[in-house]
Amino acid sequence: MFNKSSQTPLIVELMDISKQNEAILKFFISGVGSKVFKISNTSTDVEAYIIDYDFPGAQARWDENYMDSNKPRIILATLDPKAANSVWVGKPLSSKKLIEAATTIKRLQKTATATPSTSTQDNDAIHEKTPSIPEIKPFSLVNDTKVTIPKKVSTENTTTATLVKSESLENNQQKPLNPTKNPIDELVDNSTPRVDQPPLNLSENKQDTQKKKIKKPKTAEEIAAKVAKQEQRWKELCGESEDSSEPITEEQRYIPDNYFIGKLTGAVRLAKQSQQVVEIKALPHSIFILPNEHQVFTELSISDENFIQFSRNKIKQGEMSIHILSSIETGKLEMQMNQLPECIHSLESFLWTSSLLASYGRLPITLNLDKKTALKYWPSFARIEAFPYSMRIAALWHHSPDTLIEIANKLAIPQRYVFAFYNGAVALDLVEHDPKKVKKQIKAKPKKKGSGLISRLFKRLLGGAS
Amino acid sequence: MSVVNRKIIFTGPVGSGKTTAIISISDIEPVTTDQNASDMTQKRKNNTTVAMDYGVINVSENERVHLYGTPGQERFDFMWNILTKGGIGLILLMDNTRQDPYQDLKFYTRAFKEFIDEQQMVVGVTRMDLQRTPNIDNYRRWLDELGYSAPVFEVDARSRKDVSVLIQGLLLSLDPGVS
Repeated sequence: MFNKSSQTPLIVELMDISKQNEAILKFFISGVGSKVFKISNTSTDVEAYIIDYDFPGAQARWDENYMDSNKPRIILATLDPKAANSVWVGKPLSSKKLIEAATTIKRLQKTATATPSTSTQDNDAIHEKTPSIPEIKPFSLVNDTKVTIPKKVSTENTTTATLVKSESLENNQQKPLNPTKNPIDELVDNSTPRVDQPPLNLSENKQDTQKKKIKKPKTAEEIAAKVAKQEQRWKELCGESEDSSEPITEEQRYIPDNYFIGKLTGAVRLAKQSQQVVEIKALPHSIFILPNEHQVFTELSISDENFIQFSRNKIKQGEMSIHILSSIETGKLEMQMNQLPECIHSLESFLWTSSLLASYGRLPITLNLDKKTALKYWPSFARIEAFPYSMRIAALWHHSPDTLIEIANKLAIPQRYVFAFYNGAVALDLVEHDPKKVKKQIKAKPKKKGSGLISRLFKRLLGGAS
Repeated sequence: MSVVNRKIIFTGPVGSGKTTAIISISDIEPVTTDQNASDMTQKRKNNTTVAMDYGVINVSENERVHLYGTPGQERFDFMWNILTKGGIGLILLMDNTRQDPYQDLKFYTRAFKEFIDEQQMVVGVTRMDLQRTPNIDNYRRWLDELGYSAPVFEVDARSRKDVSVLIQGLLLSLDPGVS
């Protein structure tokens, strides 16, 4: 809420400003800052200029064309330019800094019109120590501007809006500029003692961000090897079968229960029903299912060569067994998990890959290919092994129930990818074989607005040309 | 040549990774409005966003997708309606270490109901490495209960790949036939 009665916006003209900062400013001014600033292009109305000193050539253009202007400037810059008749707003921009800058300029104007003054008087007005001029209210986000306890503004604080009226005033810059508490501070402060720190932790964020890490440039051979390895992995997950106009043969079918995936899905079901940790004993391996944490604990690795065979070999009767862990066993398991965190896997990822490796592009023998099925939920794509078209299959299938062949036809992609997706989704219990049950869940209709841009952005994110 | 601009909104509770996600994916040095947290937020992190975060993905010479992150604190909810105007979709980030993620999900889907109904939403669950429960299945079923059908992904907001997956999910929800 804004105090409309006591405020008039500061009429400004945007000078040389980078597009990104211009977008920020215009966004701010069109919304929350509409009572603080008003943009005008008529030079007679303009009370102040906003200029980005980091914008190439901005300072030179100002000096050349506007040097004689006596209107104050709000200078956006990373470093304080210490320019006369200006308020510096340090980057990154924030609403608080902008409001403070506007408040300072307003105060300067008011003082100048009320008392034709010498520079010393201006100085006193600008650098007041207490709210001795109560009629000049700072911009507020609340209805009633409150008189608040004067607050020191540290030079190290985020609010380093510095007014430099003239060179002779520089010595006074350490004094608080705005002794009244800024309304934004009221929202942020909450009466808690505040430790003044730089406004942004951007440098830390940068360190955390993986994209900022310096990567060694890859050679063409390294890239080719990586691509070949990736394509090989997709073959392992999805098979290599070409589409055929002939009906699916028996060779393209399999019985999940004959493989590790059959035991694994059974164990997951049992773990979820009992809400207990369940172990699959597949000597010499053990696989523990933790239903609440959605985790698997095993020394087996889904990316290992041996795991391909482990998943693809048919299991013999009695070769694998399932049992629910007792509380003592669960306690021991927790200790083991603490010692071997590298053996903890995401359940969704483990199920997905196990299923794809076992099916190898084949379909369960029980599946009626003419029957439509539905995808209840999307898999957690950032954690599973994705393969070509997998997200597109999820989107289309989730949007409308269909047969697997039709999904492949609509997307114009090889059927083996749809079959592989089906197997993974079944293992994750994401498939609804009665589409009527799912129909009600689908609410929003997909939008086609700006689909050209959507397509180009999608390609851009996939790493292709936009 | 006119420039085509679209907007994607990142929202979610304090500390869910909105600022970090935008930093991870933006083509420009993102503009953030973090301030020292001085209220309850301080318990979760030192700095918090008070106005918005802003980043851009340059799609082509004359096409840009602007990324806006909302301030997480509920008292800044007056910003939310302003930010969503003209947006093509919502990325809701959920912090799995919060006390009651279900209430958070309920709150944010309700707060952005109009926008979600008009556009699309994708949910990213962060900090699952620190707190495994609730799990992704729980979130899927909670969304069902709340009447929403949206992709739910476990993500690390620091990972460009994970944030890219979130946006891809959003785009494919908007247009399942996109290629």
